[in-house]
Amino acid sequence: MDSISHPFEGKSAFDEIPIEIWHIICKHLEPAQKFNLSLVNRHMNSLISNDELWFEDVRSLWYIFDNSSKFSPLADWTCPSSGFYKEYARRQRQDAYIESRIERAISSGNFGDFPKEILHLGEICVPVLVRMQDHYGPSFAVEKKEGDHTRFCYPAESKRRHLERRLQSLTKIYVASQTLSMVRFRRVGGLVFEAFEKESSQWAGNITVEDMMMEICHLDPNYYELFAIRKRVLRLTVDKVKAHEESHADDTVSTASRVRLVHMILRDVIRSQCANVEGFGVPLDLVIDDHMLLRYYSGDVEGTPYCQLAAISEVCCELGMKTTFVGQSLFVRDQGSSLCSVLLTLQQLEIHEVRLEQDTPQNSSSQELSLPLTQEVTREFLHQFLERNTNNAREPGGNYDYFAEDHYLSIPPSPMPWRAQQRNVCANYHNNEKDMFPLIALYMYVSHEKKMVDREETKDLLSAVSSRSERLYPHHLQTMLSIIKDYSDLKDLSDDAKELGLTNDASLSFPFYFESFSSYTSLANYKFASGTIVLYKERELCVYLARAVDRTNSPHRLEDVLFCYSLYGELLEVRETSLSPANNISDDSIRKFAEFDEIGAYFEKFDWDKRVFVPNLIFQKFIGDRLVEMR
Amino acid sequence: MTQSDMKVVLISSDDERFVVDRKVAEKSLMIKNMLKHVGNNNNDDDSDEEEDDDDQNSEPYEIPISSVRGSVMKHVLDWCEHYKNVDFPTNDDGDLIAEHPVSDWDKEFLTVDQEMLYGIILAANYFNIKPLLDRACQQVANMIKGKSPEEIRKTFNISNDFTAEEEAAIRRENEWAEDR
Repeated sequence: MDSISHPFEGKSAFDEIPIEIWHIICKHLEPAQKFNLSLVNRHMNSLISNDELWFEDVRSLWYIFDNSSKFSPLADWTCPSSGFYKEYARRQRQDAYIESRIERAISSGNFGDFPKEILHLGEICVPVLVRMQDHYGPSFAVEKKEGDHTRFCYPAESKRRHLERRLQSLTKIYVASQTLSMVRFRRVGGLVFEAFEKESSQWAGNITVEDMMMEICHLDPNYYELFAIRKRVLRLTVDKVKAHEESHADDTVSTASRVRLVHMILRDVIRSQCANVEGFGVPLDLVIDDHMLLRYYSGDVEGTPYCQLAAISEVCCELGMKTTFVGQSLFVRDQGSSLCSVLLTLQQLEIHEVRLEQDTPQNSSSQELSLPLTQEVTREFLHQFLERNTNNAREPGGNYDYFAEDHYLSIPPSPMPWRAQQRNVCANYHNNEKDMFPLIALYMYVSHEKKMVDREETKDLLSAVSSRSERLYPHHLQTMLSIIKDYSDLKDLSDDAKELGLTNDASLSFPFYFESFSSYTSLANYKFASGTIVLYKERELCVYLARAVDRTNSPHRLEDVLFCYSLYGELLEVRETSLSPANNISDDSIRKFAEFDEIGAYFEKFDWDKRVFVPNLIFQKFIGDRLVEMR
Repeated sequence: MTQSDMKVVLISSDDERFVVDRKVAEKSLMIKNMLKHVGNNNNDDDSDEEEDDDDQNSEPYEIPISSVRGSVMKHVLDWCEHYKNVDFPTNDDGDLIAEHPVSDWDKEFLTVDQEMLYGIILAANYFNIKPLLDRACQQVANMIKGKSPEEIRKTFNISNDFTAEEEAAIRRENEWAEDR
C-alpha cells in the first residue's frame, strides 16, 4: 500500500497514473494533444497506443454506407482491431491541420503564406493554393520572397474592397475544397460556411446580396454536397433579405430584389443541373410572383423535364417557397416521368405537402390542391393526371382504365384481380414504351404496402414492364429499383434484379444509366447507383460504374473508381481490371493506380508509412465489411 | 440515532481521524456500498446480525483507509462536504450521465500542487467519487493542452527516455499533430 500512499514522489510520478485514469484524462484531450503526450516518453507512447483511448475520436469520424445508400454516422459500433484507429486518427489530425491552416488563411485574409508542407499534400491543398494565388495574383499583390516561401502582400484597400475580397476568397476556397474527399469536404465546407455566416452581417451593409449571390453562383451545383451547402447559403440570404424587409417599410424594392435573386439562382441551378443532359435540357420559363410563388412553365416538351422538376422542387422546398407547376407538360404531354420524379423527390425530402395548380391555357380558372401527400392525395393526383391523359386523344381509355377504375391504391384482398389488371396494363405497355405510368403505379402501390406485396407477382409485373422497353431511362430504372427494394428483402434483391434482367443485360439499362455520369455527375445519382451496386455486387456493373466515374472530371475520381471496384469485393482483381487498357481507364488513373502496388495486399496490411492517399470511401467500405463480419 | 446524522470516522494511512456526516462520506460510492447494510440494520432496528450493533450504538462507524494520506483525505472530504447536497446522476455502470460544468469553486479547489492533484485523483478513484475524479482528470488534461512534448515533460518533471531514432520515428508518424 505504500506505493499507493506515496505514489508521486520522484520523477516517475506521472508514469504512475493507472491506465484507467488516463482514459478519463484523455477524454478531455484532442487527438493532437494525445499525440504530443505520446512523444513525452516510452511509457506514455505505449500508453497512448491503446485503442480504447481513441474510441470516441474515431467513432465520431466514421461514416458508413448503409443500405439506403446514404452516408450515416456509425451508430452501434464494436471495437475493431488496432491500427485502424491509428490510421484514422492520423487522417483526422491531417484534416485538422489542413483545416486550421485554411481557417487561419481565412481569418487573416492572407493566402500567400501557406506552409510549404501543405503543398506536399498534392491532391488536397494545391488547388486551394493555386486558386488563391490565381485570384490574388500579381494584379494587386506584392510578392515577397521570405526564405523558402513566397509571401503575397496586399495593399491597403477600402473596407468594401476588403470585404469583397474576403467574400471572393471564401467562395474560392469553397470551390477548391471540392477537390477534397467527402469527409474533408464536409468539414472544410462547413468551416467556410461558418465564415459566411459569421461575416455576412458585415457584408450586408457593404456588399449587395446580388454580389453575394453572384459569387455563390460560381459554385458548381453539379456537386451534390456543394449544392446542398449552396442551398444553405441561399436560404441564409433569403432569410436575410426577409429580415431586412421586415425592418424596412419600403418593401417593394426588397421583394423585387428577392424575387430576382431566387430567380437567378433557380435558373442557374436548373441550367447546370440539366443543360448538359441529353434530352433533358428543355427550355423552360420560370415566373416568381410577388408572393414568392414560383410558377413553372414548360413549353413543348417531348422529352422529360425530369431533372428540372427534381431540382426545382428541391430548391423550392429548401427555400420554403410554394411551388406551382403550371402548364400542359405535367398533365397532358408528360408521360409520367415528371410526376414520378416530383413525387420521388418530395418523398425523399420528406415533404408531405404539395400544391398543384392546373392552369392550362384552355382553362384559365385555376384549381388548387393543397393537401398532405397521403395515399388519398396521391390517388387524387393520379386521377387528375389520368383525366387529362384520357382527354388527350392519344389512347382514350387505353392503358389507364385500370387506374381510372380506382383499383390501384385500394388493392382488393384477393391478389388475382389486381394481378390480372396490372398484367393488362403492362401488356399494353409497348404502345408507349417510355411511359412511366405503370411503374409509378407499381411504385406507389409497393411503397405503401411494403412487404405485404406478393413478391412473385411484383416480379412478373416488373419483368413485363422491363421487357417492353428497349431502353430504360435513369428514372425508369430508379423507380424499378425502388420497387424492388421496397418489396424484397435485401438478400433477394440481387436475385430478383438478375431475373428481371436488370443486371446482366448490358444492352438494357445500365450502360445508358452509367454513361450519363460522364455528362452529368450528380453525386446524388452516383450515390444512388453505387448504393444499388452495393446491393447487387455485380462485377460487370461495378466496372461500368467505375468506367463512367473515371470519365468524369471529379478530382478524386480515382478514389471513386476504386470504390466502384471495391464494391464487388474482389480487391485483388481491381488492379488487373483497372489497368487493362481495354477498360478505357485514363492514363492519369493508371499512373495513380500504379502507386497502389498490390492493392489487395495494401488493404490487408495497411502500410501506414507509405504516403499514399487512402481512398476514404474504400476505407470505409473495407471497415464496413469488417464490422459486418464481426456482428 | 437516525441514519442521516450518523457519523463516520475515516482513518487515513497516517492515522489521522476524520469524523464526517454519513451523508458526506457517502459521496464516495465505495463507502456508500460499505455502509449499506449498516444503514439497514439501523433503520430496521431489528438485528438478526449481531456484529455491528455495539459499534453503531455506542460510537461512530470507523473505516480505516490505508491507501489515502491525511492531507489528501482532508481535501477530498472538503469536496464531499461542498457537494453533499448535489446529486450527480449516474448510469448503471456508474458513469456520469450529464456533464456538470466545472464551477469556480472546483477550479479553486483543484488549484493545488501536482502531488496533491495526483493524490486527489487516486483517492477519488479509490473512493469511487466519479464527479471529483472527472474534474481532477480534466485539470490534468488542461495542464497538457497546448503544450509541446518538451513542455509537458517540464511541467510534469518527466525525463525523456527515447533514443533519438525512436523519437524521430514517432515524430514522423505524428507530424500532423504539431502545429507548425
